Amino acid sequence: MNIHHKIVIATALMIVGLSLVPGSSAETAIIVHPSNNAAISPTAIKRIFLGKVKTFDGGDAATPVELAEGNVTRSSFNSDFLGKSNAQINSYWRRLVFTGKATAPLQAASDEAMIESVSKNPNLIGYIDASKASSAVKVVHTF
Amino acid sequence: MIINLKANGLLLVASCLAASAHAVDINWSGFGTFGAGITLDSKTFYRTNGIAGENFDDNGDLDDQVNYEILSLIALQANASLGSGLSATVQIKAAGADNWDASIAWAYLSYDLTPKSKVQAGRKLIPVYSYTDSIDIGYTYHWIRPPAEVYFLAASKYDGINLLYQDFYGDWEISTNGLVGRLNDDEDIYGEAFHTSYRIWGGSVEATFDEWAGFRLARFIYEEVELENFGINNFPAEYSGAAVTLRPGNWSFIAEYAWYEIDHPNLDFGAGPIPNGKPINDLDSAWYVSAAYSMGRWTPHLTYSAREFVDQGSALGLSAIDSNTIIIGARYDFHPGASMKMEYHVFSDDTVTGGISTPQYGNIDDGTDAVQVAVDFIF
Repeated sequence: MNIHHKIVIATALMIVGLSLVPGSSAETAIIVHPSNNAAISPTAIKRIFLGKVKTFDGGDAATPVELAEGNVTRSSFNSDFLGKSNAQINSYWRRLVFTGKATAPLQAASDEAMIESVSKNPNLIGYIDASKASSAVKVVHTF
Repeated sequence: MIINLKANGLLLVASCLAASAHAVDINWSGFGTFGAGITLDSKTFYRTNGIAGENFDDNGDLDDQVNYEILSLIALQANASLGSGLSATVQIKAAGADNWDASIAWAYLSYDLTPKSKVQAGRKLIPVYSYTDSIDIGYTYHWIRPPAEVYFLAASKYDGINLLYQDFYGDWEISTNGLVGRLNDDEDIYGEAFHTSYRIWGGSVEATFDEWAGFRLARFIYEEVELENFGINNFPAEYSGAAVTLRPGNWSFIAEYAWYEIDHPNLDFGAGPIPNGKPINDLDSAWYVSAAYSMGRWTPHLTYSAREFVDQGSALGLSAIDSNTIIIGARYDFHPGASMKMEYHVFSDDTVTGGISTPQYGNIDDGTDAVQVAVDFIF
């Protein structure tokens, strides 16, 4: 997989075990920086995470952050929210990246790393197990 | 020329990176396929990869001995973000069909004009077909290779500029790509280097409804085409493609139709140039329909493809390339970055030259069956 130095290096040494095993009924929360006041619809979220839209509603750059391969929340986000299997998402992004049409999403190693990254950058949008949400980020959608 | 600029640009990027580590992100990624194939009838040939990459040679055909080379390739891509929407991409590829000679398959600069539009300059493939953009990345589609009867165009790359624009209109996503460029190069065709040149312009429009239905049209105008291997020069050609994709539930259906207009006396139909062939402006076409059903890690699929290139007639009788292939196969996603594929191909060939049966690719029979297996991976 691609190595996204900024995120990975910033977070690689962080907590390993806390993000394990939310059950399949666990809710997923879409999170942005607390200062992000853009109207963010599920459709807009989907388009950002599929690389089809590169800005928030107000015109600020939007960069999606996904959880690392193997994370349960990643699988449920891909299948329940984007409607694609992990393999389909991988191949979808490969087509975009290899043809220069989009840059691959950044990756966070865990929910905590995701919160950390999103809380520091108003251009990021990510998703976490909803039970992990904190006041450092703003939840714009749950499912 | 552009390639050299790109290579220098990348070195520049690399030295910048060494000097100051904050400005440039370089993403390395890669993909590959290791495959094997064989025809099931003795002394038969089956073409698998008409445009699997930029070159093909006489190793591009399967025969009755197991071949591990022609379906196999590996590529490495470096993408350097230079900031402010500018990026440089270089892809180096080595394919078994090219004797594993590594070459630059893509090299381009990309600049985001706006969040919805992007301009790119460099060497890329001409996207006549739906899967041209990812033709070498087996991982991105369900076959081992897209149907060779449709995906066969040899004049497949250009040096030039293209403009991408993409936007939403309600639930419709519209993507357009317009390009202008040229090629002036020695192409490795059937194991020999031949001078190939043309000027080209054209583009594609793609409309996608809610991730569920997609429609694509592409048309490219070639001018002053010179193909040394055919001994012909200075003729115009138009290559067009149309595709429909539907994804209801776990199903996906794709149909693709490509048609070619070449304003030149008949080309070689496999048995040498046709004597007394008339200048033609034929509507030669190739198409396929494919259905795939995804059930967890398994994706079984079925495809029918056909090619029909008909001569307007010569004194000797009908000349036509006329073949079809049935592909039955399955993809198995055994790993997040790798898939395994197996396929059975039934190839039928009714090609005639001047009224006489002349099967393609050196066959003496009117078809063959072939088995192919492959592992695709991305990293």
